[in-house]
Amino acid sequence: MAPKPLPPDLLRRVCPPEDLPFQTTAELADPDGPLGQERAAEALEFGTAVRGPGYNVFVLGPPGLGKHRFVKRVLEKRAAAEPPAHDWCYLNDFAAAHRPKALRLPPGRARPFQREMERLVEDLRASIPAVFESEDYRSRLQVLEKQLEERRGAAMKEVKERAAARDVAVVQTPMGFAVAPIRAGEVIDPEQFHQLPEEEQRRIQEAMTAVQQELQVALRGLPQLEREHREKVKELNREAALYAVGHLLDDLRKRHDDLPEVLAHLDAVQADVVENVHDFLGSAEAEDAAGQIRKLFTEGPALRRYQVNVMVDQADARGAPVVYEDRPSYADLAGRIEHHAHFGTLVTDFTMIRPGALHRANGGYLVLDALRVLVQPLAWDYLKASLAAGSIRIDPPERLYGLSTTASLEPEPIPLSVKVILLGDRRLYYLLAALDPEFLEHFKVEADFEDEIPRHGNHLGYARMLAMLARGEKLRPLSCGAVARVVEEGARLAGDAEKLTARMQALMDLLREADHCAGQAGRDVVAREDVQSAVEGQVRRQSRVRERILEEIARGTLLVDTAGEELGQVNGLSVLQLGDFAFGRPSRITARVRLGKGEVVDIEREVELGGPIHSKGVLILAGYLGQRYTPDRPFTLSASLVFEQSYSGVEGDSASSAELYALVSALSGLPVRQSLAVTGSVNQLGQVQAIGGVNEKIEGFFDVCRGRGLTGDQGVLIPSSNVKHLMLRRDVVQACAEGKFHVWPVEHVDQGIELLTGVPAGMAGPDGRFPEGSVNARVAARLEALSEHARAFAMPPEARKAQP
Amino acid sequence: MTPADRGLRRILVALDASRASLEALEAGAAIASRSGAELEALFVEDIDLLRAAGLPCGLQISMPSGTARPLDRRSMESELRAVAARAREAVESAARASGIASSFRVARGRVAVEVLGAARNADLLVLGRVSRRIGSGPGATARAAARESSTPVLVMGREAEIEPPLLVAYDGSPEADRALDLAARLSGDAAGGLVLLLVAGREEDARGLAERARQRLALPTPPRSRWIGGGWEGLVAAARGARSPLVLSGRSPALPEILIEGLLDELEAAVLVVR
Repeated sequence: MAPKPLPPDLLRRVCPPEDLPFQTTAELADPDGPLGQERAAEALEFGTAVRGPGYNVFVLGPPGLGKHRFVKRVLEKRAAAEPPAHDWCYLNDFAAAHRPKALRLPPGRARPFQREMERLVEDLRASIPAVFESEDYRSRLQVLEKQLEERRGAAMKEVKERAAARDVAVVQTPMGFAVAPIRAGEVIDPEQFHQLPEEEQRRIQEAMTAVQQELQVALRGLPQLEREHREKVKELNREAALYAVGHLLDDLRKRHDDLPEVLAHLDAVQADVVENVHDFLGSAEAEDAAGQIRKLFTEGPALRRYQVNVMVDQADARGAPVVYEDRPSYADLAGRIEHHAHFGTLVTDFTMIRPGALHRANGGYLVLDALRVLVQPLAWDYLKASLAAGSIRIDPPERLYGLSTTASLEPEPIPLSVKVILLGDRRLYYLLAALDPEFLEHFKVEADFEDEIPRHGNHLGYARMLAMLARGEKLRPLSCGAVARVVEEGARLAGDAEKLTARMQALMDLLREADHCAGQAGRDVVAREDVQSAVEGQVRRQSRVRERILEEIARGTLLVDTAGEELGQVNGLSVLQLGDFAFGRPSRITARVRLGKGEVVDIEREVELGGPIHSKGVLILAGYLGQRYTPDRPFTLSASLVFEQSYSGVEGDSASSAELYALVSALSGLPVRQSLAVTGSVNQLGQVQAIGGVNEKIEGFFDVCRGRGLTGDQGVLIPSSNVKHLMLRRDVVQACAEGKFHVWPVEHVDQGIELLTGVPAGMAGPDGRFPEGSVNARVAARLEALSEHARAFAMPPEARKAQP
Repeated sequence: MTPADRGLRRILVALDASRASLEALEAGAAIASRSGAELEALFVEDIDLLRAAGLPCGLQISMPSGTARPLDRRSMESELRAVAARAREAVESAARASGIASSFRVARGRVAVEVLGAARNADLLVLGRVSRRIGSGPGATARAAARESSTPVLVMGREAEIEPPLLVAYDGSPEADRALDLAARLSGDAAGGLVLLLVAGREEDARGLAERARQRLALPTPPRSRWIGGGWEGLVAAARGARSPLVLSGRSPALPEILIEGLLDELEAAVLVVR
């Protein structure tokens, strides 16, 4: 028996006013927790609370659910109750400057330490020169120099005295020394020398040779004296520097006596200052080029080695850090080593190490967008490696690529203790789980967000959430009616009268646009009509293609009948998805039958315009027809089915019932009412099954009919299991209420065929035969006839002639 | 007429191109420029060196390596000429920089004799304290000049300055008066450019000395002064560590010559000995 049209209250489930006991949303408090996301909330709570490696969280769900907002709220609440993380610094390692040392400090201690070290250098630059210019130092230095001169003099004096005893003088030449024999205090003239007896000449020559040798020995001893002198001067400098630096550092030591690492560093600083005290004796007065360059070096990198590079400063933290890094490149996660140009060369040192998100989030929580991490070169691998190693290592990217590198720094890795919360859609999660063997090791907790939440009993909760969203965005409060309209739109967006969408982004957009409409209308509270105009505005803005299709149907370019009857021709319905916007449109489906080998040809599939699910639907038809009408005979039908005027791909099985009706019409010879459109898939038993986009499909046909004028016998056949999804437009509901349009729920194809042909479908009797005149009897008879023809064709010609 | 009376017209600098002697040149050029005097430079080729080079089996021991190589007269002459050329360049460049007239002369002989001989015609002899030789103290030439020269001798110290104030040892003797006159002229400002180190046993004598100096310099008030006691120990104590030039009389009966040499040894500052 043909079903009755659906009553209007089932076509659109409105939000009853008694569910919303308030005037405006200003009266409503924020919701206690996330509406309908209890599973995800529990997972997030668990993932952030449980300790152990790999207990990081992947929050999954489609974009626009408000995952960010939710995660931020949960984390901030949790972090506020936790102690602040540590401060971290990088210090110069005086033993190996290319490996800066990491230093952990209690929160808030890094900046003061940095300032103290800066002040120390300033003080040293004043106090060290002062010590070295003091009378005390100068006189001690003079004493040392005097000692050197005396020792040198003594060495030379001895040589000279011995020489004098031999009547030989040591005289200075421009290049060194020479020895010469003397008589009466004067060097003997060469001529005089040659006049001396040979014996005397030989004696003198021997004496000269002896003195020369002694002189050489004495001169060779001089460098040793100078070395000893330099050592003494160095020792003096060390003593003076220690005097200058000691009391300044003692002050610092007292302030940091609870931190052995700081004390060790201060010892190293002291040793280095003492060793390199000349760096502080900058030639401020030097005016020559060399002096200027020396000055540049002194004020530049040389004294920077005493600085403190603060990587993390938690002085103002009110709890554990929560960091969201919206550009998670490798360098933004790991930090970077910067360079600067110095005398035309790029140089770096530990003061140029910059922190990354991992440093800032260390000891707390780091929130990242999974896709953004994955599209950044090196970032994903680095994140996993850091979590696995439990430390943050900063490497120049070229080192990670294995390319040849310039001399750079290898900062000491910093121990890492962080909860990483990745946000991404489900597909990404399942792809990672399938393709990356390490992924599940590092992200053991999945917080899966619902796309939809149950509608029943949640109207007020939804209203409170809308109130919170509006307040958060500083929008006007919503009236009760406006909330009801948003709730209805929430159900429409969910595509289900019994569900509400959880896509906060879409709701947020709607609230903003409705607020804009209210503002234009000069209202302080957003009214129902503002929400309505916002919804209509959204549809209007996106409707160019939809309206073009309606126009071409109205002009007869696209052939769709909405009146009369046709054989083997049914109005099917399809949904087009363009970006964020979906709409329905009718398509003419035709079937033609003839004698054949028992196959239903899907022309869409033959030309590769039909998808696999569509093909599956068509093949099911053959199964249904064969089983229903010719269970004990060969199925000798050859049928072809086509979506007329379809020039692109067809996918889905929602048209399979329409295709079946077209085939049945063609087989039975009964024409089909063109004022009706059909949607629903069918199984081999003839049951009509639910499809998607039911609202859009009904509205698509309604719009075509209304364009030509509603006649009162137009309507759409939908699967009865889709009734719960109905959230139709108000104008459609209105037309149905006035009897100008109808929506029929169909459970079995027999119900549909009755509505379409106006002829009873006919139930098979105990003998398996259908009642005379029924649609099914006509189909069975036609198939039987085809079968007979086939048998006749299968006989030899003589036998065929012998047939009566 | 003493040099102080007739002013400074000729300043002699004894040069051997060592660092100390170049500093002496600089000081001499500065004084010449200030007083409008002519700068005369003298380089002496040491006759002892030439003789030593002419001897058979003569060796030169190089500094600082201590290696020995044969020595002959020709190469020694050439070396001395090279040093003289360097000295000449230094003199010309200093004269150009100070805008003064200069002359350069090379003499051959015993260094001290030649320098002292040339100094007789000059108003001031300037030389470096330490020559290129190894060992301590002032060079033999500086010692000889400080001891024997009748011309005032300015012995420059290492990095010593000749800027006022000048410390003047003053005991009221005529020699000390001459030293005072020359110091006043060199400083260019008798009132502020001098600090008298008053050598007197008693304080009232020191006051008397200060007054005498005021009168001699025709100043309205006595110049700055310090009483250093009656012995020379006070002078040594006052001058030690000071960077200002010390002016003293070389003929003072109370100042033994050995002390002058001691001061040259001891002090870093420049010392001007007036006779």
